[in-house]
Amino acid sequence: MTTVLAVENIHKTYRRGSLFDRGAPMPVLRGADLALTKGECLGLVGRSGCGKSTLGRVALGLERPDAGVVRFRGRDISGLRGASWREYRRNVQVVFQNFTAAVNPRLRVGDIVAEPLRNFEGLRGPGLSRRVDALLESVGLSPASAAKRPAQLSGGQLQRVCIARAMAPGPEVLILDEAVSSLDMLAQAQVMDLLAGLCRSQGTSCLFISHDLRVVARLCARAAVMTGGRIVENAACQNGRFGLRCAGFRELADALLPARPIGA
Amino acid sequence: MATDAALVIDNLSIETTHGQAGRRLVSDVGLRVGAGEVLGLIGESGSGKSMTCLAVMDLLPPGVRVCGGSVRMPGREAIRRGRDAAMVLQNPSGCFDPVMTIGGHFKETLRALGLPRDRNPDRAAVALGEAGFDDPESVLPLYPFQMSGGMLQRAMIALAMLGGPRLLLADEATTDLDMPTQAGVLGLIDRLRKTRGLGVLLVTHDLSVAARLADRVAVMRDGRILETGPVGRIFAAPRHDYTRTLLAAHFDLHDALCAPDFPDAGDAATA
Repeated sequence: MTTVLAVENIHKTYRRGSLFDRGAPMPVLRGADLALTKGECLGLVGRSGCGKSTLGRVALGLERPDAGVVRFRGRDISGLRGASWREYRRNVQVVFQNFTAAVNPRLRVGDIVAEPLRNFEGLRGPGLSRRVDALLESVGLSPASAAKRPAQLSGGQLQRVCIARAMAPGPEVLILDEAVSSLDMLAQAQVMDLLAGLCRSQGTSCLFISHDLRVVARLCARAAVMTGGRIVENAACQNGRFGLRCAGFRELADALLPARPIGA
Repeated sequence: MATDAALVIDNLSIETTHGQAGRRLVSDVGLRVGAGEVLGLIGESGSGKSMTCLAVMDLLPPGVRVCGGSVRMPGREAIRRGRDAAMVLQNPSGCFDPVMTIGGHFKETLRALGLPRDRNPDRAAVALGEAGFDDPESVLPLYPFQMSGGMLQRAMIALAMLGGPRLLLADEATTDLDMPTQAGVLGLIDRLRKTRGLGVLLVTHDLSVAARLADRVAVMRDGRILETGPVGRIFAAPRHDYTRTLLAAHFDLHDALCAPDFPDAGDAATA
């Protein structure tokens, strides 16, 4: 199995402060290690504030780690420049939880999906429209929705637009940060089926960040647990059974709500 | 049952007056919440759940109005916000003033409720204690950004309880919280309805939340109540196709996950 994206011994400290107050440094990542292999869907679970999202942002190149290395196809990304940097950015795409904030409300859906195609592939004109239509169809939206604006779509539809945009440049890695957490149950199920299908057909690797073990069990073949800025355990997840034993995982598992009313 | 109801909604209709023609958002909704009872209101985004809550609090946004039916609390002329009914929303960090301490929020709320000032610190501490803070005094000087989402939601519930309401509207109150925190906040609401006889309208799209806490469940779609019934009946024998669809999605998600078995459980620490 080839590793496509790896983070090695990542440290990251945020400095919270204001104009008048320097604020205490807040270490978020303390030596996090994680490797994503070709075509796999890896779940990253942990409680709020454990550093999951920051690790995702570091892997995306949106945050520079204080120490440690992010490797894409084996190469340290801090050494990438020009075309090789673009190649990395093109191949590692993201879908965030807050889909409303992730799109420009003034743009039409078609332009939102077209943006990476213009940037990375230099597509223009009818060729571009054809690709946009195909992408919208691949996420279950009609090409007619290209003319709509984000406010005219439901949450589930808008998150599909974000997925289409992320898939547009044909990335090797998709980072999904609580991407289905804000959707209602029906939309959540549809978006998860869509993601599973896309990743299988395109061979995309996924890093699926969530605190909800139910969605991770449904999508991922392996899961890693993050506690206090470190990956503390990493095991296969098969047929809904996690091979995880650490206290951080237990805390999440023990808090699972019942599927059915108790005593009914 | 009818005598100690915390909320009675009859034939409630809500419309928006935006645009030329009025558009119905909620049609002929009837709901009853008894004292100490949790009524789960479930349905997908945009089904009218939140509008119904806002109508109870008389907080409908501009351009949206009640066009029929009634919202009552038996024994009251009108529902007084804060005194008779209180509401807790999703996204606790957006509900607090970022430049005001938690103590400041309590002071402001008590003033708005017209409660005596001299006993304020006391009241705040008692309310926070009831909401599960072990050391309430240490919370008062904190600013919202210094607290986690779960702490903020507990503080929000403590604020909501200050006026001694008979009804709590919890609109997706645990949706953005991580699971251990969610379980804690649901436990808190459960405790309050038992100790205070608080009626709770629990709005959620997560059927697990309803399964955990609701006594009865109402299913809402496109502004209408499709069916209402005891939680056990709704889960075991739904009468409406849409309820079956929701339950299928819900069970599908749960059945993906086998109950984790810890061979050496027993020392497992629960939050």
